[in-house]
Amino acid sequence: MTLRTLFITAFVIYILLILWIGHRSRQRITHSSDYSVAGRKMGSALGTMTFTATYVSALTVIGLVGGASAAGLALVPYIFIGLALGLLALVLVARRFHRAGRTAESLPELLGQRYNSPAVRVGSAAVIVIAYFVYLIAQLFAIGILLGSTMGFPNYAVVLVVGSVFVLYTLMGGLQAVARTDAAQLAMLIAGLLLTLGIVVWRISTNDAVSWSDGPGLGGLLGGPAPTWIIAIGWTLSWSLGVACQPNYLQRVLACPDTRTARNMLGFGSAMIFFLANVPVLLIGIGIAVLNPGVVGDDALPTFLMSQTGGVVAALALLGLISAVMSTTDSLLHVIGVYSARDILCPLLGVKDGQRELRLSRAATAVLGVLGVAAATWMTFSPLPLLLEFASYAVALLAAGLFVPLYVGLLWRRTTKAGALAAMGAGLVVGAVAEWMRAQGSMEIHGMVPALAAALIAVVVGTLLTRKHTNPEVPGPVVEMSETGERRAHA
Amino acid sequence: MDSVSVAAVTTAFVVMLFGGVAPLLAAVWLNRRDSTCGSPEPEQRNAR
Repeated sequence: MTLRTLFITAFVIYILLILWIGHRSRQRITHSSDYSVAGRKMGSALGTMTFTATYVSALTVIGLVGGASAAGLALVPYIFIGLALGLLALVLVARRFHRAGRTAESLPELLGQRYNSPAVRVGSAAVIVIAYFVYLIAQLFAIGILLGSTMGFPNYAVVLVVGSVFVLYTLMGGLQAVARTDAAQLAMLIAGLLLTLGIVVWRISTNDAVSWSDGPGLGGLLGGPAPTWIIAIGWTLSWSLGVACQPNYLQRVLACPDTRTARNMLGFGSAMIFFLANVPVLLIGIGIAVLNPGVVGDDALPTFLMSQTGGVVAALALLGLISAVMSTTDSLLHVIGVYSARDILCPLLGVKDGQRELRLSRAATAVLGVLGVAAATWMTFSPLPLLLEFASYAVALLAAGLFVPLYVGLLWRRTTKAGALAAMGAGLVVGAVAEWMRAQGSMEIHGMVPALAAALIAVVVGTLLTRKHTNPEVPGPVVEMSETGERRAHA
Repeated sequence: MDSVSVAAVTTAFVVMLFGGVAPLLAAVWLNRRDSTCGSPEPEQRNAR
């Protein structure tokens, strides 16, 4: 049996399994909250698996293996310190976030309630939908290129098949289906990663001509994308804030029934992210550079899989990569479908009925899913460099616009609507301009540093200037958010 | 490997360990603190 036949057989079985899970999840959807936050019944085990699977994307695996093959340990200050701090921040703020969102079904709805402002709700939803839509297209485009270059399939056919499957099951079961398919996909992608790591370790240990100490970037932590500590601090800030306010992570916190479950999900998920994904990816990248010094960067993993592993292993590893891309794109599609319906269309159309919200969420998921797949398919014939470039900045810009309104709003109860809107605008504008300047070479440090400073100044100035107009006796956003009320009760 | 390389590898090991363990320990500790000190969920508070 050829590798191609083996892969197609495994892929068909995999798709049938995923669609069956999606179909079964459909039966659990009776209300909009079932679709958007899985009825707030997500347990620790399922939450941990979907949280981990959502983190591991195809870009993460291919990009990080490529980065490690070129820069070795420089990935630690470039990404992993920031990632660790971001995950820790999520755990520390989980209770405040979960309680603030106990009546909200999305991050923009929580922000809208917090600031008692439809503008904040619609504005934050629009920013998230645009950023995630572009990111979704980039992910689909990447998997088309990957399977096209390794298996010889037409790129457009890969995008159409993979895209149709995840749009279909996301549409059927919302977060119920996304979380359950994520669990199956996590098993596939972790198996693929560990299998690849095992082969790398075995190849190096049985070859006397090579050694781990020949690996790239082992002479120090700095190098590659983080050549100085100042630049490394900028990246750390960017990754930590980006992770700490990712809507698809926070959506899972809202889906947990209580704070304890949310913390378990984030804590155990972080351990799985580091020990089952990041550590293997780092070792695989360094090991591949030892075995194949001539091929580094994004080509390192696909080239290694095709040239140095057997048919079954390569098929399983590629299936793992498809699982990685699906487990991320389904979360992105679910978020943009729910947010565009619940937080943009429903407030504009005055829809408050749960059943109509559910129908609108499904319709928005279908429309945006079809548009995303169509755009990614079109890009396989005519790539849009600007779109891909924007995708690489999308997550950082999301953090620039969302982090301060969310976290300062959770921690400083006096924050006003004007302060939040000013922080959102200042963070986005300064972040975009600073990243453009960095791309032009006129600035070294990551744009997140000036963006964060601008957003913090904006929220403080905006709040202090408008504070007199707020009445602390009026129930609403402050009461909705309040953790401090409980603290007073304990004092 | 020279001493600089050993230091770099050791630091990388510590960071990766921290990344996986710190959020987990924080979650376990905060949950245990809530259950021993008593920090009820809003629904439980309302029920009282």
